[in-house]
Amino acid sequence: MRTWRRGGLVIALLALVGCSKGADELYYDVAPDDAFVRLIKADITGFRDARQCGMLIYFEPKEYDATRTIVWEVTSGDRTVARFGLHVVPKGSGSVIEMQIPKAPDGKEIYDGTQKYSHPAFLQPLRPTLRELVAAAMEQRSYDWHRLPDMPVDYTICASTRQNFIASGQPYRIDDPSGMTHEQAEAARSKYGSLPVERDDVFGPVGP
Amino acid sequence: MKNHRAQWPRSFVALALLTMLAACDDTKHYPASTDTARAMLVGTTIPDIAFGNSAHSGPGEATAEGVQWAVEVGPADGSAGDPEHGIGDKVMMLKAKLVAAGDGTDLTVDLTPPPHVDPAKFKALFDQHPGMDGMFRNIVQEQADSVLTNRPFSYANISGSMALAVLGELPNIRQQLDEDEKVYELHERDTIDHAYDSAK
Repeated sequence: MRTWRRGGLVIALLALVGCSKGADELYYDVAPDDAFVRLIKADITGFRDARQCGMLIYFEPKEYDATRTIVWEVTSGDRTVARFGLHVVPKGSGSVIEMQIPKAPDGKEIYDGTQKYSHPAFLQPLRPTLRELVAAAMEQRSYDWHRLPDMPVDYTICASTRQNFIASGQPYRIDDPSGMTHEQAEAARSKYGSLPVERDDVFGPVGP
Repeated sequence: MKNHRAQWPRSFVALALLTMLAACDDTKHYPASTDTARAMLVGTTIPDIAFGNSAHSGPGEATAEGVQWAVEVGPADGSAGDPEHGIGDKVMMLKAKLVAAGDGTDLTVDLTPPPHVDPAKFKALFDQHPGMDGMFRNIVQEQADSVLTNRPFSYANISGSMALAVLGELPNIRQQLDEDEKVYELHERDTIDHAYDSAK
């Protein structure tokens, strides 16, 4: 009987630990204003180099001082291929960094590991890799992909285009058909004329 | 990862013990006289299976002490191999030392550098690759034993020491992988940075 009670107590404690860890996962003992400054200086280039696919992508930060929020618009060519934000929520003397990742058309988050893109910007999933972006910023260090948690390997076109890009130095382009290098696309255009190019619906409808 | 690294020292201890045990049984006695044993071993070659494609043995040569086999780079037919390392270059001498004992011969094995290789460097190489010494000694022993007992060379008799040699190489392999990873990451960053710079 006592063993059962002890077991119950352990389970209850574990449940509490699990909850508080989840809630304060991105809590840092850094004052909100300072936390916001650190996020602005986040190593977005390191993040990009570690997680981008075969296309060149550009990060345009928008800072909202009043809410201590920074949103990066990620573009390739003239198209927005992703967007995410980090929001500083004061908590006690420290800060919780809240990740803002838009919804995909299916209601899940963009780049959540289940999304399919013809011209992806990042290896999926995005969320765990943003945690490292936050951690690196808060610890004022470079982005370090070795610190990423174990994640399922991304076998999508992102990984293969990234490998080809690294091997050849020739990036893919959003205005070329999916999976074709620019050289291949140009060769095909000169032979067949214009080529159909897939477009991704990255974002879901914005709610009311 | 940290847990795996903590296991290395234990693996080393196990390896060291196994290597010591393997080294204990170095001398073997055969009923043949030293002259007969030498005559049987001279001209034999150690099967390629003992070295893979990276090396092969020359024919056994008679020496004052017994018989020696030169280990040469590349396969015996010279068909492949690393062009940076000269095909046919002697890299090691495997020796069977024959000493008359009673009405037969005691056989011990030894590894020595070929004349053009600095003995200190040779020793350093084996210090760096701890399992290799036992593996090559085992190969010579099996070659001599198979010839002197009139049986085929048995891969099964050397596979244990080969496995030990591979285990001994794991730290080196790990280090090499880490170094390769760093080089690849640098290459990755350079390639990406260059692409962005070019696109400006």
